[in-house]
Amino acid sequence: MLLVGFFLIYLAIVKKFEPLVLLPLAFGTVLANLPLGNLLEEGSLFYYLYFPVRHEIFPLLIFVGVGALTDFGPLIANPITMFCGAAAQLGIFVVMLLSMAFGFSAQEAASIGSIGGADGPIAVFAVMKLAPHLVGPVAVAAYSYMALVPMIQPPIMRLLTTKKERETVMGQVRKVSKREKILFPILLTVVVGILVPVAIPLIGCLAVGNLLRESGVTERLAKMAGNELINTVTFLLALTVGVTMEAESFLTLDTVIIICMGMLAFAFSTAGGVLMGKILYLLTGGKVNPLIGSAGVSAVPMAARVSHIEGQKANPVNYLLMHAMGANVAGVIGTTVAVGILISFLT
Amino acid sequence: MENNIYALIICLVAYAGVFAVLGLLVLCIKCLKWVDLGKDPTAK
Repeated sequence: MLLVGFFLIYLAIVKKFEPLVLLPLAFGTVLANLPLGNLLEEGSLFYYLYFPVRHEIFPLLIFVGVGALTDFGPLIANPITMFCGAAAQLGIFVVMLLSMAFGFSAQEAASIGSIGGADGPIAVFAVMKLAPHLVGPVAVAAYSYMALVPMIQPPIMRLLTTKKERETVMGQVRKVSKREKILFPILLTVVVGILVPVAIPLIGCLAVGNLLRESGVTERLAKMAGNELINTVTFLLALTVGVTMEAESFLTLDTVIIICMGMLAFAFSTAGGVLMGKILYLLTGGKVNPLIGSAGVSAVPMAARVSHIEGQKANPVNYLLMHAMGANVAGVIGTTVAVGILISFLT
Repeated sequence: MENNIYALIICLVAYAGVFAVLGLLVLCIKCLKWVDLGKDPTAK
């Protein structure tokens, strides 16, 4: 297990796989597996740090920061991209079914499927609610694959689209007023909160963070949420999850299956988003480039950048970034709703 | 077998639910545009 820890440190430092998360997580793994060290014993630092992980406090605080860093403008300007965010949750459900076929319980399968949402804090939130014993492998898979988005997505995007579709040029995104941006997080909380009450903590934290940013009157708080809060909490979450990764719970066949399923979840989610992009292309008479669909997985902003780069490869005058950002932030909402619905069914 | 069918139904309903909730949000965002009919008091 020490070797796994060292390998993760290598991935974080040399390969730069989500180093902000993977490095503390890997170091926590090394700490947890040193002989005679009982880091989680009652009264120790990590015993208390595990409490906010176990009770889903850390993922929620991270979501306040995510909200403070998110610009919903592109989504408000082009709301149709919301459907890409919905379709790109396909991997969650396909992998949930596949995992059940491998003998996992419905709760464990849903936790594994949540990797397909490509959103680390939500995956940790889901796994702690449904199957806390899987937090180590699910967190490692979720954060590692987020770093691999530029490698996983492009082949699937090219496979599912024609050259003509990829060349589609989309018009400029309209300007969104400050008033719309202020009202959106409030609207989002009310609508999602009423329809999916289990998702209220997640969507509420996302919305309040975003309101701090958009209101224009809480600049200091928005900066705090988007920098100090999210950085501190992400560090503590990753380190503490790493400390839970002891050999007897991590070095199992289940971990190997979870890692493989995570990859499949990402692939299916990407395919779902691209297929929705193709549907929108047909419905709008060729005005939507299907490549923006893959950005419906939440990995913000990497998935949007991948859509943009692929679009420019097909047609150098293509500028898809803002459209893809709409699908990308819709993916965050989509993952929250999907996980919220699954949790309400399975608990 | 029963468990698998139950899981399949959960997945289908949940996936449809995601579309329903996000579809409703699309309508809400479309309505948001109405608030811009008047002058935006926050605009400079």
